[in-house]
Amino acid sequence: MTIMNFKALGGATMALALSITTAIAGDYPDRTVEIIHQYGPGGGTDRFIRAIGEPMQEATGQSVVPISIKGGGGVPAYVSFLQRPANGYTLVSLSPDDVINHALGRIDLSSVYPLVRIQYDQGMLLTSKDSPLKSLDDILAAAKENPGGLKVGVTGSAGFDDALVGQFNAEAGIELETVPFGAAEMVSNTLGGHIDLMYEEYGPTRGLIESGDLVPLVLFSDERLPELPEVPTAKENGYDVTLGRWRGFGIRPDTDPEIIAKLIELFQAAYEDPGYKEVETQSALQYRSEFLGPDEFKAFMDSETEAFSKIMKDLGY
Amino acid sequence: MISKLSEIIVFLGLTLASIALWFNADALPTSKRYAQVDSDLWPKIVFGALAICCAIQMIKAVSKALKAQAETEATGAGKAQGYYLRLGLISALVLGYFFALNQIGFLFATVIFLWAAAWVLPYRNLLAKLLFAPLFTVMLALFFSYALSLPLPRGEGIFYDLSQALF
Amino acid sequence: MLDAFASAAGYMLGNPMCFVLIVFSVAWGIMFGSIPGLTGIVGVALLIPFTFAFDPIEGMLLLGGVYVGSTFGGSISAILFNTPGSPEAACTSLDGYPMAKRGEAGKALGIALAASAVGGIFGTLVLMFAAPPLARLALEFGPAEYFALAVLGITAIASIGGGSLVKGLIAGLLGLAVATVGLDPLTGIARFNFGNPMLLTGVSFIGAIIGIFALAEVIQRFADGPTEANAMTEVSTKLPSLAEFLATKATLLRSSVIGTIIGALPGVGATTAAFISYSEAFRWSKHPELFGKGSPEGIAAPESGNNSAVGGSMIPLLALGIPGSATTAVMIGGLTIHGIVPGPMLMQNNSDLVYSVFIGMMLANILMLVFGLRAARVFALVLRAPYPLVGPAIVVLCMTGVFALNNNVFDVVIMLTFGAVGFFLKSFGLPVASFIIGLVLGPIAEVSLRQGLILADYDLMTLVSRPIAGTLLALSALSLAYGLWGQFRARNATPKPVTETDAKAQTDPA
Repeated sequence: MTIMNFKALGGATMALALSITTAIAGDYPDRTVEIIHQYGPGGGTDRFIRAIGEPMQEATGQSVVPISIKGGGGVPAYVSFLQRPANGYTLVSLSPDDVINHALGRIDLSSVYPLVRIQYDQGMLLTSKDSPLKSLDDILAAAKENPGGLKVGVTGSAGFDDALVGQFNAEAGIELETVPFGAAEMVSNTLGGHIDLMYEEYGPTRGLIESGDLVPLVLFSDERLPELPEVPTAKENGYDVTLGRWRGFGIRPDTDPEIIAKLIELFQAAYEDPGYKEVETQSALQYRSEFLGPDEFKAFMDSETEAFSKIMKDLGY
Repeated sequence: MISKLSEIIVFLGLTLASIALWFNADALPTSKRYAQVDSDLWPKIVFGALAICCAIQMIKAVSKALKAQAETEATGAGKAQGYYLRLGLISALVLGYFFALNQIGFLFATVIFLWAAAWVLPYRNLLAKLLFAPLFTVMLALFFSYALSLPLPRGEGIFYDLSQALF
Repeated sequence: MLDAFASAAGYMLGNPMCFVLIVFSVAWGIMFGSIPGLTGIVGVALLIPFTFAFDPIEGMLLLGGVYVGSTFGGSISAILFNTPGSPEAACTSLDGYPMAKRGEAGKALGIALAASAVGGIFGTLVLMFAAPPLARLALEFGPAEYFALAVLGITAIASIGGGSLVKGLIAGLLGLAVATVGLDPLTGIARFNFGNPMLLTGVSFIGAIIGIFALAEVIQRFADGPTEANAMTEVSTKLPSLAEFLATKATLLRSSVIGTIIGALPGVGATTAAFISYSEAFRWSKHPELFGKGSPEGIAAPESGNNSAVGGSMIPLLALGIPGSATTAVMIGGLTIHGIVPGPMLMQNNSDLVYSVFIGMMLANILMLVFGLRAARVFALVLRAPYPLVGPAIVVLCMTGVFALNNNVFDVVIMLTFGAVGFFLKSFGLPVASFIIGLVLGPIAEVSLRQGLILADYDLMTLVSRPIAGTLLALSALSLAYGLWGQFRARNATPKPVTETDAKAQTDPA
């Protein structure tokens, strides 16, 4: 089926679909809810969807499953989402990468209704235990001595990681060169000493931090993490870089309002579920995460769009 | 197998396409940060080499064609009778099936396709021909939607609703 | 270590459910692997919710068994119908299908199965006894080494088709060219997608191989008409003799080593392992002229390579907490949901889990061999079914499988397009093997070359003078020269045969 056919399908059955959905909104959901995301299966977002879906499944008896449409900078995932009918059974995961895509003109976020924001993460620069870099000062000194000499592994191209390192570069007046990798290769290249630093969140690196193989040098957040009390924040050193990766969901704006209300209620309950809270704690996500409903999320997205538009412009995109 | 002429045309076409794509790569937007390893580095190597190889192959084909003019080989003799007819038929059926899947959904499209395709090649057992299509279709539909709970194309309009009711 | 084994074995004996799960998961994996389009990743991902119902150990056994089974399963449909059930089986089609077409389906399946088991057991043994050192070895592989590895595989494109050098190069370069479509992974710039957003991900590999192999073959056989399509009544279900199998022992050993190492490298997995094993088997074979026409080595190499990569890709997962492949990435997701933190401490903190996985994977491989050998004879009988019915059924399975994979119609469009591409390649004597190698290794070569150059501050010499990378590149250059010399010698020794028609005459039954 081509995109055109999808559109035709949407048009032809819209009236029918609307009349049916209003009638059955009370039973929602009566089948599997799918959440499209742009990251790999088994990755942070995939796991997050499964974790938040668990309590929802218990509550409704219907499963919530992640659909991974990987690659293409997230554009194919978003396009696939727009091709699905607006019946409340297809959601899309939203993250800073989508905001950046919007800022770069790759996708148009006005065709999505921001539903809820659930997680707000914090990232770090990490290095291998064998690296000569032992602290933030070492990074700054090495970067000043040899501009562009320090290579930072990031995931994704022209995405969130890139923007954050770019912002840090601007604040600190240094030049760290980013090299995009797949998530697994980034870690192995850091451990093997092929790259000097990598940018990652706490959750995926926790095992390697606890074993001492990876050493976090600087945290990008407002406050230090209780899990890593020795790791300084960039902010306390005078570099105001506190952006974090957040995760939320969006839905088609023409979805039945009753379904939207029901979904928000379900997500709110799932967010407060002890099982989910445990998952959150495991990745040290509880400190900055805050449940945002549609209005607050919309306002937040707008401010992010503004911030990232500026950063990407400064980076020369 | 294939007449020399078509070989010349195809490799000429590939040579020209490679050159065009090389320039297409050259016109890609440049990235300041990775200027030395920009997006066009690898495609240019690939399309450059491809253009050279295709040109060589084309020249080879031309020279072979000139040499072989006297002793023309019997082209197409290796093909069985009705080759192109059957090729056209089955290709059309496969394409038709693809469009039918999206229009009328998995069940109907598959049964019709299997029935139609069974007649492209001679096969005597009429009963098997008639029974196989619906049996295979139903089994596959049951397997995908119930055992694996994976999606099947549902078609459009009333076919969508009908399919939804069935699987 | 023995204590850990004993403790894990004790746990498993105390929970007979474990064994039920292993049997179930291997069967489930084989089924998923053999359906075109549905890969092991889908098989594993679909089972993740079920693992919630079990302990982490049972959950991991389930996922490990699926992984083992699906890697072999792909070869069944690859051999019987030229339809690679999963990407890692694409290579098995190259020789398995010609052998089956010759009427020796039983032998082809038997070799594939035994080679899978040998590779699988080899990989698992390495995983059991040498995971930490091998994980450290894998860390030595930076972008430069990945690039050298890809080059090693790519240098085979010139000679592997058995036909003309230039045509091999053209086919390989076409594969490399197709692989450049999509968003540039480094700069994020769209390349050659001609405005189609769905092409930003690149050409779906699964769609492409199913089109090239399966669809092109069905169309070819229908076009060839009744004489050919009905010629398959003589199907031998005879399994290969032990002697026939052991004749490939050098290939088995080489491929298993290659597969385990490549499997242990993050970001590359069973598919790459299968192709590099295949091209190396071709390079070192005493009978390279049989490749592509049903060579036993050509089946043994990719199957032992991709199955040993299963054990290999578990190495960084268990030793470092980094996934070695896409399937193990899904498994990591499964682990964390159970509250287990993957990382270097896993072997100490969860030794029961780790050692149960070892035992489970070993059992899964043995099970696969025992049941598989019996099943292979039954599977081979499918070939006796009339092709006028089976051919269209293959088309149906391919379309639904490719569609169901991502619920994406565009993948089906890719499959149809590549059906035509496969037909085109065959018609002009362009070797499919070279094309696919280009398609598989192109992205690895490109990205790692550019990453490597950035890390080497844009100095190519720094890149090639690294010890492992340099050795691999030198090996590629040597074997390229050796291959060219061999081809040159063969050309001078015998009057040049018209290769395409010759190949056809040899593969045609009767």
